[in-house]
Amino acid sequence: MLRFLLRSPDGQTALLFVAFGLAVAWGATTYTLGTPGRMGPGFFPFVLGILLALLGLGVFVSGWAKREREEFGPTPWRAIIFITAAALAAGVLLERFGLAPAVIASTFIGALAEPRASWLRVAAVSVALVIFAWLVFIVGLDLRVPVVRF
Amino acid sequence: MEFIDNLALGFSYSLALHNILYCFIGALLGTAIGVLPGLGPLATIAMLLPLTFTLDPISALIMLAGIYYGAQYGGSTTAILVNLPGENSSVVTAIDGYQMARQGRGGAALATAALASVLAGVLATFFIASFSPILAQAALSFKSPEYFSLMIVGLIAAVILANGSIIKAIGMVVVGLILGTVGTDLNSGVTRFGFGLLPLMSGLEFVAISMGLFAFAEIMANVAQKSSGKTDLHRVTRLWPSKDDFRLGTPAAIRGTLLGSILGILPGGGAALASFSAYSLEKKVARDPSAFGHGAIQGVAGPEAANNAAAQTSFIPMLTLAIPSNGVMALMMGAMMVHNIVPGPMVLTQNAPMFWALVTSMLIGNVILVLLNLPLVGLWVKLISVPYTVLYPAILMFCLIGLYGIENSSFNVYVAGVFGLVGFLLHKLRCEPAPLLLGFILGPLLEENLRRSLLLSKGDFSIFVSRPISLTLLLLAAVLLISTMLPSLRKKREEAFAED
Repeated sequence: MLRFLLRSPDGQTALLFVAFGLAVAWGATTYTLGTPGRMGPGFFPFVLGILLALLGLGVFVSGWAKREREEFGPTPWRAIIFITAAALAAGVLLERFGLAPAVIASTFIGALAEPRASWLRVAAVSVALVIFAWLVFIVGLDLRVPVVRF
Repeated sequence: MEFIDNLALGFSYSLALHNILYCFIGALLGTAIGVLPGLGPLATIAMLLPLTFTLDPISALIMLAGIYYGAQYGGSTTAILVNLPGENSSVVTAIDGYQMARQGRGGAALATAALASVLAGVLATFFIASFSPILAQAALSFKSPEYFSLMIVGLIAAVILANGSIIKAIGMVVVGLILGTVGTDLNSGVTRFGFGLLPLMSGLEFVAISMGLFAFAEIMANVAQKSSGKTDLHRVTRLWPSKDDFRLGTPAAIRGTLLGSILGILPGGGAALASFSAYSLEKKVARDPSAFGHGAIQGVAGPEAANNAAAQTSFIPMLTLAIPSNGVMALMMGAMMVHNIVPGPMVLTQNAPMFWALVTSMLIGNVILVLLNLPLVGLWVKLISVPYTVLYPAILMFCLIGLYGIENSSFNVYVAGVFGLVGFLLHKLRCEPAPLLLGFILGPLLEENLRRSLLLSKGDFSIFVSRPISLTLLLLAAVLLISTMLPSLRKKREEAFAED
């Protein structure tokens, strides 16, 4: 049972739906619920939260009933971590230092997601992308962001 | 005649030089990005959306539509040449198209796909022009209970056609609906689930959600394997189809167009359903069904015509009823709302120039597409062979700066980052993300109509079943839902998806 909940896609989906649904329903109670005739802001999300939790139970039951239970393959942690980091870093750099640093950083951090990146190629790609981004977004679309700001 | 007047009104906008240019740019970019392996139309459109935000609404919609069918067409090119269908609608094209490419008839397959698509596109445009006013007229009598029930039908139908478990897909719709409640509630002015973050007051940005779910999550799933592998590409030589190809392909394309046009209008229908149905239809009517799977030209012409026709007619329910039939249409609807155009039966009366400009631009766009694609096949082939190690940083860059550009702030970049993680998690959990987007776009409309209905009936839920149209729609939704539980249909549905 525990193994099913934690190791299989169905089990985890069920857990996630129930947990997220209940959290939303609980969060919705902090707003006015109102009555069906005069719904407060909390009514709709409250109903949705409960509905999602119930669907979670449904996923649990139908997944448990399956004869062959699927288990997860390996997770590419590396890709997940570095692609997300690339996005976050670019977000911070775009606001503080402008376009070029953001593009270079996102390309280099993103490349850490590859098993064997050739750094020479990554450098070349990042330079090309800075020029490309400058052409499309600043020259072409008139985006208000400096290329570099110190 | 009203029909002619409407088209004339549309052409007066869509034939303006700058709009032809935007149509061209849209189709070109859509094809160029759509061609890239592993990048489906949803990711392609999400990625290119910010480019249209600075345009006026009419030009923006024309360009978006261009991106949309460009992306569809680009996906077919990849399916034929490298057997990597970007999404469900080109899965069946890959079956016979790729075999043709292996036999050295890749050029003919591509040309057939292009010609079938343009034929379908042109006919479907007329279909839209004659059908939408009727549907909009019918929908004018709809009040909030009917809209509520209509959206329920739309959501259920879309869920049934999603890949995989139905309960999970409904769950994804509900998650989308929940995400749609984030932001200021228009009725009370209360900010819901804002977590004290100022940018969340106006709600989550749908571009950030879709880029995260589709583009970022796709990169995460692919970067490890694809950055080492090489794409196996077949050479394109002779482009023009042979006489035999024409003789077999033309009727198939016409059948595909008719089938696709009809299936495209159904809620939950769209390109994928149309191409699957067209393929099985061709297999049934063919004199020699054994040729299918070994490079039968009808297997390319029929489904390609069908998916293009359906891709266009699925605009009808979205524009006139505000019911997007699939994820891509939800994205288009969201993009329209960015330009303050709320789809619905009023669009035809209040935004008539925009509506007809969009419809007529599809005609122009399809012609541009064929003129573009036949000579540029060589370029697309080169694009397909661009290694993933160069591709994904470019996709990433395009998304990140586009996200920043929406509000000139990095908030949406962070939102997309989070949804990238969510998208990957969903991929792991075998949950389709497209229904989530549908729920997200329809959420505010659904809540609004639910509230209004119950305000009207003073809290009595029977209002949904005491009105005949609303009752019919709800019964339809129930029938759809129950039908998926019947063992025979269930098996069929699994088979349809198992082909990929």
